Amino acid sequence: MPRLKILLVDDDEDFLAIAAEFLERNGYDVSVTSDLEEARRLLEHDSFAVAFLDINFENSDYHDKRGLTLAIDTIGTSAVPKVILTVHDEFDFARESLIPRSGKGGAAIDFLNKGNGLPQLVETIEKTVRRVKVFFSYSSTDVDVVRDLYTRLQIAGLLPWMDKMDIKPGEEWEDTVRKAIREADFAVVFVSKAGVDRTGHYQKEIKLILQVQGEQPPGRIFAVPARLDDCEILHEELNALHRVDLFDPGGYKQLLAMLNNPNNP
Amino acid sequence: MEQLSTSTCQQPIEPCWWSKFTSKAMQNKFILIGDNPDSSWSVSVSDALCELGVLEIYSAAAAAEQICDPDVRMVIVDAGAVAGLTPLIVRLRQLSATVPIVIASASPTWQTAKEVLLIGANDCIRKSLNPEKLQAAFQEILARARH
Repeated sequence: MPRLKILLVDDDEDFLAIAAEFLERNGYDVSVTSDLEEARRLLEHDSFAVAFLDINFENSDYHDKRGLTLAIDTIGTSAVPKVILTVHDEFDFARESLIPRSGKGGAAIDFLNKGNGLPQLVETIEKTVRRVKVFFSYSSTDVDVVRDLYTRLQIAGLLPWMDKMDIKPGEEWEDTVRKAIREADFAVVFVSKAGVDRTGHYQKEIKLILQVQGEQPPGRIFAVPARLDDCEILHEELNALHRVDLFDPGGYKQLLAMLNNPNNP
Repeated sequence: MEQLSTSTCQQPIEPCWWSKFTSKAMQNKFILIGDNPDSSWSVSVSDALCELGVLEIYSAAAAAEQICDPDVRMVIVDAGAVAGLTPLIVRLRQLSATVPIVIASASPTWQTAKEVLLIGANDCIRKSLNPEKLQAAFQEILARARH
């Protein structure tokens, strides 16, 4: 299993080196940057299980809070959970980091004082990563793109499941898939022009996924149709569900945000 | 039920966006969980909210019975008047997922802000005796909660 990816954003390069070394020793794959524009690009276009952001990027100016501003600015554009990590443990900074904003949650999911040491970073990562189980249903024609998404979700801290990767030699296909669907928190059904009229296992999976969706309480999302291209969803019941278009630039972020939403356990 | 007070406006302030959108502003109910309706701060809160609706002051136990009232627009908790702040917020949030809960403290710390915001409070504010400042803060919280 790939290691969880963590992003550290701080203007103190010594701190970055020490914290990265500590986190790598604890089994994480760490990216670091002191550049706020690069941080924005990484937050908006890459997958991370957690990002730690310093507030102040200009030591001589106490009022500088560009790290916090970046966290606020990327509320709607990045699905990466952000944690503010600072020596400026002021009430106003904590409040501004954590207050819920316009139904989109806060700028950060936690606020940490650097002075409390590095082990709190590991505690926060483990607390944050929800290990949401996501079943992948796909046509064999789409296996490569689905496998790529499988890896992306893993490094973002989720637990995707797909038959090609998770059925062990000798295991009975149908029982194993049935069990995986039942144990999943979500089932993503990938649809594409190439795979839209495929029969066999794929259709059986969709049938079971829709059955499990039907057993959910009102409002609870289980099945998520995910279009890989501009195809028509032929399955009527599946077509009625809110879908994600992964070929759209914001599609992956939308999917990740939905799977990570604690209000949709 | 222990209702400590229903406030009356003591210091008129400028009408706000809220009153422009409703002709029955007095139906909007604001609950203050506190222990002293006559304190300077309680009076300031009352003044701040008089254009927005009616402020009722309750003990923590009694407020829990009120939060499900559909007219309740916000619950303001005087952090200094409550023994167990965390269990109170958890309890209120269990009773209503949507009513904004605001914690007010005379000297809030970052730890207080973190503690209350991570368990479901909508905001944590510094106590102020300036009704206009308070009204601006409450309006901002209401606006955020509406989206």
